[in-house]
Amino acid sequence: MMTRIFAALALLWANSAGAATPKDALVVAANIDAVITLDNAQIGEIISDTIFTNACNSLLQVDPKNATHLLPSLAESWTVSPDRLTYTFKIRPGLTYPSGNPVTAEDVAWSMKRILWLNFGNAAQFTAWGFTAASAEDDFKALDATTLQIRMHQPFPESLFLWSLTGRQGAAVDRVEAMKHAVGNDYGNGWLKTNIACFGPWKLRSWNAGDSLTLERRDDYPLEKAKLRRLIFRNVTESTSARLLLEKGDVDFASGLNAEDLKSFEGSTTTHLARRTLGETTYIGFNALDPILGKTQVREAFRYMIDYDALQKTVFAQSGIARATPVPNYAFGALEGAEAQPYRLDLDRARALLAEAGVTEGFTREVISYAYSPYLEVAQHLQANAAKLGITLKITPLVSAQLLGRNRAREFDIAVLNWGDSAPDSDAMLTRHATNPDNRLEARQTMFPAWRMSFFDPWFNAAVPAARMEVDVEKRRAMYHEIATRFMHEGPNAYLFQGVANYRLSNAVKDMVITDSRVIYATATK
Amino acid sequence: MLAATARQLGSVAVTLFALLALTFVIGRMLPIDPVIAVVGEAASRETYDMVRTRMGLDQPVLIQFGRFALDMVQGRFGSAIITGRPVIDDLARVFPPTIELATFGMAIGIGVGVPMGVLAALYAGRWIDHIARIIGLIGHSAPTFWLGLMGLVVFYAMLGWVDGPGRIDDAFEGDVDPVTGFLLIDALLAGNGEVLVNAWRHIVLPASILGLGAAATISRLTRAFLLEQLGQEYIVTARAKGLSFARVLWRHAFANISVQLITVIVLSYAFLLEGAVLTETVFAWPGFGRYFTNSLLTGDMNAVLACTLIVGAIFVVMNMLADLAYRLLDPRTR
Repeated sequence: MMTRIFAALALLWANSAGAATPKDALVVAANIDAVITLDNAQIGEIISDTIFTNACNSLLQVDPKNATHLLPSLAESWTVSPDRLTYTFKIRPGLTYPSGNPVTAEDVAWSMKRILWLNFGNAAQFTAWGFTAASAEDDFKALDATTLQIRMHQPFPESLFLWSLTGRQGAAVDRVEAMKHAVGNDYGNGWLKTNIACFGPWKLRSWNAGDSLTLERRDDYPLEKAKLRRLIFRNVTESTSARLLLEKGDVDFASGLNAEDLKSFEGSTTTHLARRTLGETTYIGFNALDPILGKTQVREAFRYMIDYDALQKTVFAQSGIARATPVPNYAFGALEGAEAQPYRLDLDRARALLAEAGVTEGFTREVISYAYSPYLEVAQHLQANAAKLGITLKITPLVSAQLLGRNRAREFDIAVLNWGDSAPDSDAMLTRHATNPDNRLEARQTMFPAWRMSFFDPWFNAAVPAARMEVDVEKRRAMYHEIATRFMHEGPNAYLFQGVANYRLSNAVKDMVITDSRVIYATATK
Repeated sequence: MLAATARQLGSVAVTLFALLALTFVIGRMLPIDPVIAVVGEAASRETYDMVRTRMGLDQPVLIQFGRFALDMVQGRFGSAIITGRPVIDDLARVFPPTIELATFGMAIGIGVGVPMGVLAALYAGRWIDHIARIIGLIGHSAPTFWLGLMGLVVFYAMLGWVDGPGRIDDAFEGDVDPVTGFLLIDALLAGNGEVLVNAWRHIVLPASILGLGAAATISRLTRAFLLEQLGQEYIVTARAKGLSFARVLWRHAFANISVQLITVIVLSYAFLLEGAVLTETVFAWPGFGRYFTNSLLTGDMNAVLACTLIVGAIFVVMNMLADLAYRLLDPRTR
């Protein structure tokens, strides 16, 4: 023992160079503090979703070259009945989980039912189509080991529903393994928080919360295997630290870099930039119950108090695209060009709109905001411009749990927020933001931002579902254009910027797929 | 002696209980919603209510506290929202990296701070004193975050003397089985020199940043304590009796300040153990400080309460150790 210790000590004093990343591993610097669960019934954060959807195949997958085109994945083929009420999927035969258990249609059906039964936030991905925990047994059925049938309650456009099965909610969870660890009625939720049991190119090797998460290639994966043996997410929460690690070659891929650190890479010959637009929007919400903020003209006036150009050049220089609509630019039916962002700073127009609303005196309101960039800067920006019109905005920076708590309880005047939904269809965002099933306080429809803003408009409540059910593609597109345009001016929110993710990669990394819909690590080589 | 010990233990218990009660009440009064962290922002009302009930948050505050206190007594801290794991397991994971970093930092703090303070006292008003004071000033006033980033830029990125953020390179991840949780010790026990070297190169810089802060405090107080002693009549008497200056300095003056110095060192160490969140953030160090901070930000009350209790316990234990040292070193307090 002592000899070994002395040998180690001797080596300690010898000067040794730092090791670069392993040749057979891709090392990603990312903030993984937000990973609080790996259960697809519960995952909510982008980073957790990225990890899960890389490790687990869903029923279908989005074509990386075209976000509106779908490709087979767990299902090798599928058919839709003429009345669009029955979907039948043929699951690839011979697939197995890392545990060795076979992947069956029953597993896929159970995985979907499980999300409804557990009823966390992701259940909304199914309840939006009319499925409920009570109807799930009849809605998701395995006809045999490789045939899955889903029964719809309404004839939605098939592309819309099929796309919803490309995400984490379309994955097959290893039913046998999960139920081995079930406690009470949790369907293995407690165990799956820290474990991944699904079919996919990677398996979870280790997760040291707050430190690192490592996925390992499944060599028995029957489809196209991951090129590298390991995918390591290192928890690096500080942007400059991530930058230095990449510069020194200690990581291959850095995410979460701030504008300053991204800029420092300009002219770099050892790294390159990859960007993708996100289905995430930063917006200012106004509580429509407020006697002043409840007026459409007042909210429109606030939109003219925002200098989109200045914010684009500064706060959102690298991280956003100015858009005054919640629908991401890649989604079906999205407004484009000047239609998507018709506003510019115009205080005279804002003053006129306030007068039109009968607001001729200054007033004071509180703005709640996340206590960090870019939200706080947005709040300060609005505060400065509103002050020129005699409006006093008092900013209260809050941590996430506080901010969302107050927003969900409608206990705010104005809030700087964000919302994300990566579905490439206008329906996803407009359903949540423009419709409100029940505006009563006691209804607590908190999953609808429209409810949180106390915004209720029967026209939107009718128009959005009508567009969803429209089969004629061009007519549907036109309907979304009308809804989005009207919502932009009459809705409760001022939408500012669609998010953009910036990644910096070592030039040694090749063949990674980074698209608007997702980041795929399995194709990466070094 | 027995009665004194019993009194002290009773005082410790009351202190910890008060700390627990205060933290719990403040935690429940804060407008932070821990349910959202569990169910997600888009959850339905039904789910929200179900989880809230499951977490016991629908119960009166006193009942919630009673249940929690009972769990504490039985050693059940519950599960953390932010990791999905039992809090006790999380603490067992995040505490060793912090102890390792803090101990290394403290060793640097003592190794630099005490000699610097002694030299500054001996050469008060001269250039050595000025340099010591400037170093102390930097250690005290430079933001840890900035110092950490500058340290990384210079010693890691430019000079390459040390390794970057993290405890170990990915190439060595899993090469040494965790026995104690302290990577340096585990690497030594395993006789794995490569891991030892790598872990050493990773810890040197964050420990030095922490140590600089501790050295500043220790140096300043050592100087002040020693200057006070050196001005005492017994020092002049000792010198007049013909004792060498070194003997007077170390056997008389320094021995007399050792009691105060130990208190300073013990409390400095307690502050480091509490978790240097900024250092841990810059250096991607998976320690207690970041765990505690993340728990606070997400309103993860089980973790927050357990961490608060741990921090309180650290200070109580450190104070007890300081008291013990007093008694051992100063016969008047026995």
